[in-house]
Amino acid sequence: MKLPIRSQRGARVRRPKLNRRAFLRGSAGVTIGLPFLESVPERSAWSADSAPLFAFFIGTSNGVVQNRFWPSAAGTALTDLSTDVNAAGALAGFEQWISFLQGFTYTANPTGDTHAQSYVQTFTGAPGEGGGNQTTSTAPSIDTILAPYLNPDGAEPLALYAGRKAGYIDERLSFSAPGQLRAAEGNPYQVYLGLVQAGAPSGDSADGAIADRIARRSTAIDFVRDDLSALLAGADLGARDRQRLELHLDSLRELELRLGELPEGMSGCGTTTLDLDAIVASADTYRLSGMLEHIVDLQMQLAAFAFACNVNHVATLQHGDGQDAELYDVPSNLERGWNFHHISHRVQSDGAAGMDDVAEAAHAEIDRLRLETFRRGLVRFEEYGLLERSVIMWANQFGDGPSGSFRNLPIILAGNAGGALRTGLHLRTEDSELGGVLQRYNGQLLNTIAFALGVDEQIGVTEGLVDELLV
Amino acid sequence: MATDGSPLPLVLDGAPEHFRHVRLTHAQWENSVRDVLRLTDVTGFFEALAADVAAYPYSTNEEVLEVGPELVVDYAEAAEGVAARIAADPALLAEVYPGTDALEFVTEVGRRFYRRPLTDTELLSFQQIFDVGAGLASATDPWSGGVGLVLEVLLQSPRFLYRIEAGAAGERLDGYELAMKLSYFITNSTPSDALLDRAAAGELDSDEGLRAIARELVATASARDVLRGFHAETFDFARFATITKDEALGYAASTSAELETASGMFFDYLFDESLGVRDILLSDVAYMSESMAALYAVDGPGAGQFVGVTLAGERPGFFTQLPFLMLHSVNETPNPIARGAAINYDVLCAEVPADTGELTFPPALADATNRERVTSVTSGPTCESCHHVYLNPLGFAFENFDGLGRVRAEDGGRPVDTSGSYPFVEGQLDFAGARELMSLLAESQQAHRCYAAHLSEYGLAHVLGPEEESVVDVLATASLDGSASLADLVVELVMDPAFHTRRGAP
Repeated sequence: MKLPIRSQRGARVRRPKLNRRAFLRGSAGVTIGLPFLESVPERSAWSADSAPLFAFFIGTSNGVVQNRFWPSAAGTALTDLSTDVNAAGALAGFEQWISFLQGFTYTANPTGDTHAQSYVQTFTGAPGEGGGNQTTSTAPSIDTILAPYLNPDGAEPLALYAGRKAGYIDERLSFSAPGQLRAAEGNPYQVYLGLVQAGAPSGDSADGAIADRIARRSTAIDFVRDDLSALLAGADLGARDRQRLELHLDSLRELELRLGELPEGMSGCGTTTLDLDAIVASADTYRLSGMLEHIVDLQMQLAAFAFACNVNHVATLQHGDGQDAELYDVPSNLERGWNFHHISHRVQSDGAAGMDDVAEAAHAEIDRLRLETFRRGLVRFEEYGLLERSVIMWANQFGDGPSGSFRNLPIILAGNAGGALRTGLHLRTEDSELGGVLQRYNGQLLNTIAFALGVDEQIGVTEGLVDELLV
Repeated sequence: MATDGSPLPLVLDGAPEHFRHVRLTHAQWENSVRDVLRLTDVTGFFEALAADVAAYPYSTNEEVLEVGPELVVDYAEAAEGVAARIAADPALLAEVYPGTDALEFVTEVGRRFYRRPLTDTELLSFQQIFDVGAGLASATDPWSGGVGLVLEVLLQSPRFLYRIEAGAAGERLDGYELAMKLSYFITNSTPSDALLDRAAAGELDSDEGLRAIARELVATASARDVLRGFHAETFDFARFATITKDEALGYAASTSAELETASGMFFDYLFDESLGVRDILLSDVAYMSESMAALYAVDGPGAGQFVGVTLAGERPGFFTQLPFLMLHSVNETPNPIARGAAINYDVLCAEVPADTGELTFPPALADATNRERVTSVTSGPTCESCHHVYLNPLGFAFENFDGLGRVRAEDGGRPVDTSGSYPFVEGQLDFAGARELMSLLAESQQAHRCYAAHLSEYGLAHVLGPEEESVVDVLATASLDGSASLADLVVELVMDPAFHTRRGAP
């Protein structure tokens, strides 16, 4: 005979499971269900007759291995990259959307510490000033010049960052004016919150209620988090009491995700999903070597998200700090464990350069790895349908590592700026007199990008366009 | 599962886990919001809070009272809703705090939420939050904006959501902690300003003061509500809503609600009349609606009304009244197994070994009484060692009440047999029927210890462990030997070290 369940006094109710959303804590970190993009309608954020244009500038560090970077095939038309063993092969599948641009140099020649000197020129097209790691720009960067044109609401461009901070040289890409460095955000989660907050359509509600709601909830979350942390720090706290408070603390993440529920004006961001789990899990930003490419992945996603959601149309991303010392576990570096800066110098020194085949091999492998990261970002842009409305410029601060050369800068463009830019090129004008590739100033390339985006402004100190790129 | 037929005494084998941070129940949250904000009624927001996993044995049980991802969102949304409502209504705002001084506001209102004075650091923090709120564009004015945001944050603060006992384990709770614990146990809400003042004055630091204040609290209407809720959980009032019977029997959907109301009124009556555990078992007063009165075969109240009626001697106590009898039956047929199980578990705390699963009521047997068929289907080595010893005898005692709770003398044309025998802790005792059984229970230490354990589990908010035999003994003795009223037992529990001593980490 069975008895009514209620009367089974021996039975104990077990503690509740997290019952609405999977909220699993494991070795891979926190996984949380996505709260809002599941229901994003499949439509564009902008109307066809007023489609905006977008610009995204990515700067990376430490140069490349020139003879193992560019597409291997001869000719100026980009061909199938799928079998290319050079780093360029990582971009296979995007041949119709990208161009490799060889033969660009900075205006000023390198002197002293070149890491800061190079970065300040990468997107300004103008020489730097000052010495060593204090070098700063003498001109605004292209992102801040474009933003007033491309952002109809006058929003400042996004400044994103991935990598260690408080190092020798941190962010050094985006300048609002000569010497006016713009801080870049290295925490993808903060970027995300900022985007959502910025996307709140204040124009739709005169009192800014949505933005205020976000501010209020953020205040409450910060307070509760601090208070729970204080309780957790209390003396004589048992393990189960601790677990209870930690559950509450972890559960605030759910509230934070709701914080990001798309305001109405942002509801047209396409159907591609942000990797929001990882973005939330990255709330502590870059901490350890091994995280860098992941953070870049997230930042590129967020740039695409910002564009697709019509929150911002211009962004920069610095991929690694100024002399990037990330530890890469590429095959040729597994035994040695050199940091990237040393690899790029081919010697375990921040100040000297050498010749080392293993380090060169490792550098080439890192080049490929970084372009694979770039490719993953391009996938997001493609999924949002942004490549036909964007220019994405990927640049490295140096031509190569050991010399820190300012010549033959590694540059890749993606997107056709609404049809104004030619793509599928491997631009390299041979100059027989120089015995190599004709060198042009990167400012001309920046001018060309601005022109393609409909902005008739000179970027930096150099006049002229790169005609081969224009349709 | 076979047993040897020996008594099944109360077993205290709980291993509670949380003492320092026990979340408010949703009812406590709602009452607290009402009281800290000086509202005239509850907000209703608690209905939107994620339901807790069903707690064993009581809704107050520490084991399930936690804040997970769903509830944290619900709390936030409720906090935003409540705060917005207050901030938008000057009259409500004035009730919360009539002045215009931000520091004074966070000092006064913060103490209500935290149930203790705020520290200087906390005051500063809330002043800063006030300033943020005052500066929000959506604020009607800086004052309401600041107040709104402070309330929003206070409503989500762990210091509000949890009952916190933070001091050294093994020591007496401090005055504020005792005020909080007393208030939530006896009134199901946050301590009043007056009680916090008395805590500040040290009135709760002595046993005399504690007893005096407990007595004051237990005399309130809120205490009566709490006791009603406690008995509702103990005796499963919620299951009245699950009763279904053939329409031909005249059982209306409204009857379930009437059973619940009548049951609640019965326990209110006991509380109001300062009656005790014996009276739960022996009182001859029953509450009833018009339709229930017809089943009791007495003159009842008018439509939509309830009345307490002194019944003839056949119906001593709650378990011979309609609610219990109708719940544990199938249509007109009594279910002795369920009735017996309820008495075992809920009145005697006899942990009869049980299989899991729902009751399958035995099919009718030709020419057999209900008792005979139940005896038949529960015979055999697997079943009878429990059913024939513990379950059936206690259930058969109620065979003179049919499935609608009406008195009956016959079953299938034959006289009902309500006699039985049961292995009480006090010994194997015989009874002729429900009346004698109730009298035995009323003088049974086992029954009084069981009630004491129930009340302690409810009041202490955890399943009792072996170290808590003492409090059970104290309450059982007060009930059995001292004829303590239900309210007295509440006070005795408060006065026990199990209540007023800080447990700390398990």
